[in-house]
Amino acid sequence: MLNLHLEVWNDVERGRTQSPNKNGVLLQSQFNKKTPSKLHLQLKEEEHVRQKLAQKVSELTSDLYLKEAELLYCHSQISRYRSEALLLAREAGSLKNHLAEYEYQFECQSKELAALGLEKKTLREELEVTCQEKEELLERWMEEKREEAERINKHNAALERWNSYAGRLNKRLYSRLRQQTWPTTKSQIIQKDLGDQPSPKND
Amino acid sequence: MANEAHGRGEGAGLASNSLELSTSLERSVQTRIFKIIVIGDSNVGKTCLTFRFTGGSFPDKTEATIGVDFREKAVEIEGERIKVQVWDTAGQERFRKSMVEHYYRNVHAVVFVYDVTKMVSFENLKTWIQECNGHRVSASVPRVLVGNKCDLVDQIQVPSNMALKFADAHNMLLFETSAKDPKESQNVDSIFMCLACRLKAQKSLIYWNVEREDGKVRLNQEPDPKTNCPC
Ligand SMILES: Nc1nc2c(ncn2[C@@H]2O[C@H](COP(=O)(O)OP(=O)(O)OP(=O)(O)O)[C@@H](O)[C@H]2O)c(=O)[nH]1
Ligand SMILES: [Mg+2]
Repeated sequence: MLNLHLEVWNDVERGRTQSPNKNGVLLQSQFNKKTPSKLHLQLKEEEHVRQKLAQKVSELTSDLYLKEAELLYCHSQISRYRSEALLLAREAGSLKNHLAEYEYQFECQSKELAALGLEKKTLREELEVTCQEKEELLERWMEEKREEAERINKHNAALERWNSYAGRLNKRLYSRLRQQTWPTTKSQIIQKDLGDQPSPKND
Repeated sequence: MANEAHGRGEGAGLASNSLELSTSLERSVQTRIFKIIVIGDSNVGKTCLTFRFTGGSFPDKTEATIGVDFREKAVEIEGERIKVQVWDTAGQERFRKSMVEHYYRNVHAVVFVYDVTKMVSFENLKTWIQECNGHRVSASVPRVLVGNKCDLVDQIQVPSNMALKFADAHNMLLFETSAKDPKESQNVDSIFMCLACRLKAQKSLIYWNVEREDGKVRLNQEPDPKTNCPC
């Protein structure tokens, strides 16, 4: 403002000394009439204010345009967001439905899981029992086999002993028969030693 | 004279009694049994081999033997009927514990089996022979070595010469065969027949061939002309 005042003052002074034009005359006359410099200053000031205001107006107008454009954009955004929001709300609704469904399923499956867990536990217990039984059965089977093997070994040994005994008896019988006088009998007795029979070795 | 007659009559009566006794004794002499045990790793085919010999076929499905399975086949060697009693033993340790004593008791012959497609089953033979020796099985008990699964020609891991060397070193006969291949069936039979022949030769009993012709008794030991000994 001080600068403006100084500028105006300088203008006034310059007009007084050198401008012989009409304006200058008028100004001079105005100045001459009632404090011309003051008026001039006021005029200048107002002119300046007007200019400033005009500039401001143009600035504001462009701002307005800008804001209007922005507003338009915002509107379009709003409508976009609105439709998006609608869509999302719809999706949220269906998700909510899904969630409810899943929650229900989860609940059912939890119950099923618990039941299965229980079943698994009982099955595991049964398995343990079965394993135990299998082991016992195997043990019994082995025991049976052991007894059978023992029986067969005994049977084999008895058979060998019996065969050996019967053979020996036969041998003795035939040697006795040979000693008998039996004119009509032509005996040919060939015998091998019965001691050669298989006999229990490892008993 | 009467005495003499009486004496002769008594003698004839005694002879006929003795003859009757002898006949019944003969009848009571039962078919001899040769106990042969089959030993070797699990899965080498012991059950299939014994089944092939006694049943004449290859079993469709086999389970691991528990303890022991007994199989029997009556064969005729040089006119004598003999029962070959095959003990198909378990190869898995858990299925044979506490049975081993019974396997080796009064055994007449031992068959060691390995799988020609599994070197480890051949390497384990040493352990099986050790076990056998550890049970006081006499050296006179014949032993044979059998390489099974020869039908799997492209999977053979145990070369014949290696097996032969091993068999020689342990004084055993070697048989390479297949329980599965029907063409090998005779070869499987010959394993057991060969052992039975050997046992018969070793433990020869009197071959009683009694002929009776009006009170005449004739005992002889002539072998039956038809013999089916494969050795
Ligand atoms: N290709 C082929 N397979 C065979 C032969 N012999 C046996 N097998 C198979 O080998 C497997 C084991 O046979 P097993 O006879 O049960 O064996 P194992 O020696 O008795 O076994 P354990 O009873 O456990 O001691 C089965 O799947 C048979 O089918 C053979 O000659 N050739
Ligand atoms: Mg078996």
